[in-house]
Amino acid sequence: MGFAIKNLFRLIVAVLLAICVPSCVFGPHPKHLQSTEQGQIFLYLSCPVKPTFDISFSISGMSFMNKDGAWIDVALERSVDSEEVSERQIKLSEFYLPAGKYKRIKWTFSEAKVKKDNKSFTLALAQPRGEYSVEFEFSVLGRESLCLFADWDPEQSVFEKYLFRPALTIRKQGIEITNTLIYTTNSGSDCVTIIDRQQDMVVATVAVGTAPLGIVASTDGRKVYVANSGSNTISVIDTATNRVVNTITNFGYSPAELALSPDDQTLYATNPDSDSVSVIDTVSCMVTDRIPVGDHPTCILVDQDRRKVYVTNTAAHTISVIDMYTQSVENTISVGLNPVGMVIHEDTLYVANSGSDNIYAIEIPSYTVTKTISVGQKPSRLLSGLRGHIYVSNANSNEISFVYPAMGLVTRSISTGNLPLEMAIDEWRRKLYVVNSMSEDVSIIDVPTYNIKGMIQVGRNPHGIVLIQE
Amino acid sequence: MNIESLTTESALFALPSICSRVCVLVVMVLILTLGSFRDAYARGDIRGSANLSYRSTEIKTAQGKKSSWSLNQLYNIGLSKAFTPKVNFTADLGINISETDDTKTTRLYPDMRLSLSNEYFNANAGYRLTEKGLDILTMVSDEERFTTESWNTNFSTKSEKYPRVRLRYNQDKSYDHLSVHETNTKTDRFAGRADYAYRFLNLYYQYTNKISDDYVVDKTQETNTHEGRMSFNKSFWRKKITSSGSYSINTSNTETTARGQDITVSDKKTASDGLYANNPAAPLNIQLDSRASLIDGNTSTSTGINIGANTNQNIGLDLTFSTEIEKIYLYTTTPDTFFNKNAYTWAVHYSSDNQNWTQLTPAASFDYNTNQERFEVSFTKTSARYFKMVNTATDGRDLDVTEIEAYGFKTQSAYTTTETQRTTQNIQANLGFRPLDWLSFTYNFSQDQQKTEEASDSTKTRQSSHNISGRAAKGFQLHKYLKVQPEYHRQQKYEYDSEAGTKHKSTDIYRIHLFSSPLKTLDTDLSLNHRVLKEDSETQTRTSSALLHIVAKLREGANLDIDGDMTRSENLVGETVSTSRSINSTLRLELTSALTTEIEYNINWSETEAPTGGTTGRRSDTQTTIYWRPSHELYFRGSYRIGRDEESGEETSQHSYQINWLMTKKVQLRMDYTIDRSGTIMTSYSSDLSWNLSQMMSLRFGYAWSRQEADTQTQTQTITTDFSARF
Repeated sequence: MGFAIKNLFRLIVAVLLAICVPSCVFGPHPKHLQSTEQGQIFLYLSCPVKPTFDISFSISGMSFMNKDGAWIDVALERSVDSEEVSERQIKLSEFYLPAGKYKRIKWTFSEAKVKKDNKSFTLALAQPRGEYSVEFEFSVLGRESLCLFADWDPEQSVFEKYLFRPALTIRKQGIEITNTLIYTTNSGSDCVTIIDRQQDMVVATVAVGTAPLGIVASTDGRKVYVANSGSNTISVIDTATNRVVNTITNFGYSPAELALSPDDQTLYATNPDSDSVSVIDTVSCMVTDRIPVGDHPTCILVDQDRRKVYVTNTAAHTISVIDMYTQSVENTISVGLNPVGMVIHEDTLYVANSGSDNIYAIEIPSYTVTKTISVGQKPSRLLSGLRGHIYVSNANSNEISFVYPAMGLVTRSISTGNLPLEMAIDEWRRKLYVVNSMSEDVSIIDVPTYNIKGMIQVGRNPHGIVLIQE
Repeated sequence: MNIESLTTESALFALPSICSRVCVLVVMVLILTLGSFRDAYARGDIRGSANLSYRSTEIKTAQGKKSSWSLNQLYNIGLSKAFTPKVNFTADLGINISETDDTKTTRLYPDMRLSLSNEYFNANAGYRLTEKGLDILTMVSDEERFTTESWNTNFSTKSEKYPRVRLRYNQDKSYDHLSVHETNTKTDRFAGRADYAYRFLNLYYQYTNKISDDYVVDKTQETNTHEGRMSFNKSFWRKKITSSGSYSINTSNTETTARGQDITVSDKKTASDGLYANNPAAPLNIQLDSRASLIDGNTSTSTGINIGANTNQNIGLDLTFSTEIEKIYLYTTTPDTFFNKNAYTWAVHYSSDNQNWTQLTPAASFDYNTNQERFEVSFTKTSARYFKMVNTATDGRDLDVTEIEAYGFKTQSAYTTTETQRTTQNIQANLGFRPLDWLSFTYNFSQDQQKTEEASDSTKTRQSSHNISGRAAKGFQLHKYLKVQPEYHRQQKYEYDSEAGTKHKSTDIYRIHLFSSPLKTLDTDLSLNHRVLKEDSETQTRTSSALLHIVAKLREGANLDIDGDMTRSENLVGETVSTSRSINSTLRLELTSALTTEIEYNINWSETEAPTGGTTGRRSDTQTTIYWRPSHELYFRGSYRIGRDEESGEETSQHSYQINWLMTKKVQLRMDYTIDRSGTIMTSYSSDLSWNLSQMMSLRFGYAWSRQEADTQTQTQTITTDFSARF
């Protein structure tokens, strides 16, 4: 009897293992991943010249003809108004196409209207089924990202006052003048969007690893480093060609934010899941050290004057001070709840306590809190701004606070998009760029007038931003 | 296998521990099994890159010319293979060869990882070996080699509903390949954590264990840490009341074991038999009889051998094997009051067969230990199977032998162990109340408590602070062109430090903010601020400032903005007064759609008055910048800046020109030219030509030239070439 029970138990365990192991190991893929057979496409539409009248149309689909003559359909439903795209750019869609060569693009329109003298007229659509195709040759590479730009001329889109035939000029991304570029990571699209800040328009995208977050540029502007938190790597982008020239493996640790030493020789990456900071030699592109810090390190800042690296341990409510000579933590400072962004301004370290809705001013090197400045809800990132100000992005109240640190006062607050995070300042043109993670765009703030100058639509869940210094 | 043995063979192929071998074997078996088992599923992905960078520098000074060069080669190949949709294997191999005039450094690493990710959990295990100084083609000397090895495994659950569990283990080893190591360390870390979010409450617990071994200094440190935290974040009444708080406790115990000075300890040798012979005539040629009671461990019962009343008593032991001995203890019964140890003489003999004895010493040095009641006889360290003692002189008073023991001595390493226990606790609480848009109150409390126990020392510190602040700021439209917003902000801070005592600080901030837009094209705002910091009711600092901001649109494409700042700060403790004033103005003219010019003028004054004296400063800067972008392919920026120290009359200037030109769809040229006059004259020119050969390859040429003219002239030229390829 005992023998039978024992065997029955073994049989049950074997059956359970036989069921559980395959279901854990095999089965459908949990998430669609970009493979070597597919390339990512971003499609932007703009209207370079302001039209004299208003045209609106609805797109119900889009197809691409490959070199074999087969059409590949892409789901796209979108209404466009010429006023909306007048002298600006909108993102129509982002999608994947099989790798290969393409020679024709077909648009399917469901409706077109023209508005003149406060009267609206429906336009006839091209036949059959409102389809309109243009010749355009381009190649899609697997694991790569490509931007296509459609320049629309509304004035030339109406024929004989009744027929809508959009005058669209398609072009693809190319190499760009490096010195005026901005790079934004899109953690939901696994790519980096490149913006020309002279024109405030998207000019290219670069595919990187999975879930890119932090981004940093070398001081000479030749390279941009991107922390891929999902694939545990750091991509190195050559800014002249806007291509990933190397990928640094972070040995299984998920990197979040990056900081570069001023000599561009050492790259620091916070690893929130493993409570450590990776030290990377940028010459050999190898991880040379890993420094244990506090719980859930997020933001990181290099203080070259004092040869220190500051790391905010968001879950532990502390800041770790790393000595750059010994590459070890020499001090731990208690701060407010959930510290994140940091900045150094006149021998003072400012840290945003996102859980306490305030900023601590910490005197260096005594590390004593000298001021507490109340800001908006959930301050997330800090930036040293123009004319002695510090800019604070408040993630929950969707605003940027301008702090005058000498008095410990917020002098202005400006509303932005949804969930503002990282910021970058173009000191020459005095424009502040703010990444809005939820609204998937970048706000452009004209600093002298405190006005929002525009929005640039980027990829999904944008996070980090960096600009190439002129 | 110990780490020392690795010095004689390639660490690339010889992993240093059985554990590592087992793990590699498991990974290999998994790869092979899964690869063949689910071949139809498998998707492979191989990528690679090569980066070559050459740099040549020449520096010319009055003393001569110096040249240097460097070549950095970086190769990387990576494989990613999905055995099933949920099991993935990645492997990378990186090679770096860095050469300069007289040095060559090579680094290479293989890195592999097996990952399993499904809807319930993520699990992965990886191994990396980094070799510095080991060329892939040639072997170099052991002096140049350095190896680091890392293992890590991670497991984490994905569920949002249930507590998330994360387990992490990693091992890092670093060692050189010298015959006597200068570096040889190993660190093992294990961390297990669980966290759970229930509505607005977050709970967290983590246990970590870290063991660090430094084999060079023979030191081991083990730290066990328990960390617990509870935090919450909740808002009420349409976010008019916000609250957040956290309590965390961290207990760590560190035990450090380090090797100290060597010590010598006695080592009792096991005897198989006691030996005895009474009053022999010829002590050098006699066989002693067995007397087991001499080695029975009983030091209180007499064996019937009286060494006080009788001389030439042969008492010995059989050690079974030849053994090194340098001391014999002979236990006795309790001596009487008139016992005289100095009357005794002890001869020591040794033998290999219990027949033929050799005299080691006729009179060995000895002492009598009255506590232990034994003779302690010392002699030169001698190796033999049989030893015996013969009392050639006594004090004539009865004294019986109870036991005999033989001792050798050995040197032992001494280890010191220190234990440190540290407990830190942190409490934070925040409460915010904003009943009206213009009125808000906040309260923050924080407390840090730390207790450290080390050996007999115990220290305890505590810092706490209560921070109460209130802010009222309301705008009023006084006139259609004038809006005013008075603001009052008060912060009260009560600080307690167990070492520094209690402090009460208060900060009052008064502010009047005036906004005026008399024209559609003109915006002005003026902010008058006053800040008073008091400590224990005594004023420490007083700061007053006026900030003026004017933005004017002079005409379409012509914008002017002016910032004025005047700040006076009195430090009543240091009796110093500092005043600073500054005006920053910018005129931006968009002359055409392609051409923009900007004129900036900044001036600032500073004065400091102190009991020891005062300082003054005045400095102005003017800058003109032109941006020209006639087409998408060309961009030019030129700027000229002149700065003047009005006190000393010293002038600095900088010309800076930059051209970016997209020469073709594949070639970009950037040129920079700068002349910087600030004490010395620094002229620099640089150009960078990038050529996008194909989708996969690019070339970059750089040339930089600079000349620094001071007392002597230094001229530097640098040529760089970079090649990148990938697939």
